[in-house]
Amino acid sequence: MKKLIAIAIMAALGFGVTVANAGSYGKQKVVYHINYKKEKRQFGALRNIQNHINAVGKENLDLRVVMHGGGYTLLQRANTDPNMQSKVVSLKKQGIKFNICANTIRGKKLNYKNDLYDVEQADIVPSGVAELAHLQAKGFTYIKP
Amino acid sequence: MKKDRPTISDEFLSAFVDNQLTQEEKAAAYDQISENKEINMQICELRKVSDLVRLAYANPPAAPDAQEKSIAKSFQLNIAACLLAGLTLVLGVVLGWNLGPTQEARALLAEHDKMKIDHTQMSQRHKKMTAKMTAGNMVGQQISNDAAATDIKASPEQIKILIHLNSNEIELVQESLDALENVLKYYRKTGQRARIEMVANGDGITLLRKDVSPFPERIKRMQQEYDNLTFVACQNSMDRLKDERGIVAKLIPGVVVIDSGMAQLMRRQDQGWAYIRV
Repeated sequence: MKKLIAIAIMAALGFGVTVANAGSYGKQKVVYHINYKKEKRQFGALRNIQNHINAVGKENLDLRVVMHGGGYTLLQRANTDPNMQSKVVSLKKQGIKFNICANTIRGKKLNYKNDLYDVEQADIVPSGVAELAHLQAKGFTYIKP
Repeated sequence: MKKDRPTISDEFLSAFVDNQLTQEEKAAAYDQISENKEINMQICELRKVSDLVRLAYANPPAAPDAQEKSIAKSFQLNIAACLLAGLTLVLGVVLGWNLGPTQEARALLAEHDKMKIDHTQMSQRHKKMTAKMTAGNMVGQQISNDAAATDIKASPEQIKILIHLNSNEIELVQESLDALENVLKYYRKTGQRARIEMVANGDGITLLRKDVSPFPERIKRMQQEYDNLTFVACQNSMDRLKDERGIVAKLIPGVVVIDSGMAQLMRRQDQGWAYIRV
């Protein structure tokens, strides 16, 4: 039982130290996953990302957004909704990359140049799920807002 | 009520916390835990917390002089995670000890652990192959064109993905199956070795229930078409279905049942699997 108590104390100390150090985050690699079409939730995700940049600093952040399934509607909205568009533009200026799944583009029969806002060939990934797995294997933290 | 069980000793608990148990002992411990729904819910909560902590510090700040510090930090976190597991086990033992595990649960857990062993052996074999390749490169040999070399070149590590489904919203379920099939096709086309598990809990298990699944034929076809794909259902969710709505879930053949979906998410991430929530 003593051993357990000792472990408990060490763990408690460990948490204390960790929390105390949380002020400076250092470099981060993060991938945000968006596969839903609900407008409010998409705006929420973009807000999360901006807050993330504010907290960590854009120079410390390699942040990718991977969209598949219903997630493509974010870039569709950005075509027509100036509010969504300005958010995307602003995030891109801060170095955020928006990647979209080729399967989704094919499945939804999208013309990425006309139907989606500011998408180039290089922004298209062969599989959204494979991209998410690949980035995690490379040390990116997965966030689904 | 069974009273003939040996009580759990401090040594056993320490061994559990330190991860020094044999597979059988671990299976028995999980047995105890999985038998009690309340305990299991608590475990889910605790694991969720430690999962969040782990995720939050998956990439500790890499200051060049802070190597030792971050090792110490992850050590502390490990201890904390083990401690949570240990504490939960104590709770489980105290509250759930008298409930004897069923034969089925035992068999399932044993099978689950056997799968884990198989998997470990596979990845050991793979490591050996990788080591061989590295040795080859060190003496200046060119990468040959034989199958093994190509395999390693294409995927230095086997890709492992857990896809988490906890909704029965039809559009989402359909899109999830589309995404799942697309990625399986992609890996097959590019010759990458991958294992994918779709873990369903909560409302998500509807997809895997024989009588109510919106896509039973598609599930069966995908199971046959991809031997690297497993559909997994959470026992807790099935228990809850029975307790709350009196429904005994019958699953599509080939669906694997695990004790707790949340615990499975934890275990798989600890084993280096990517996590994707659909």
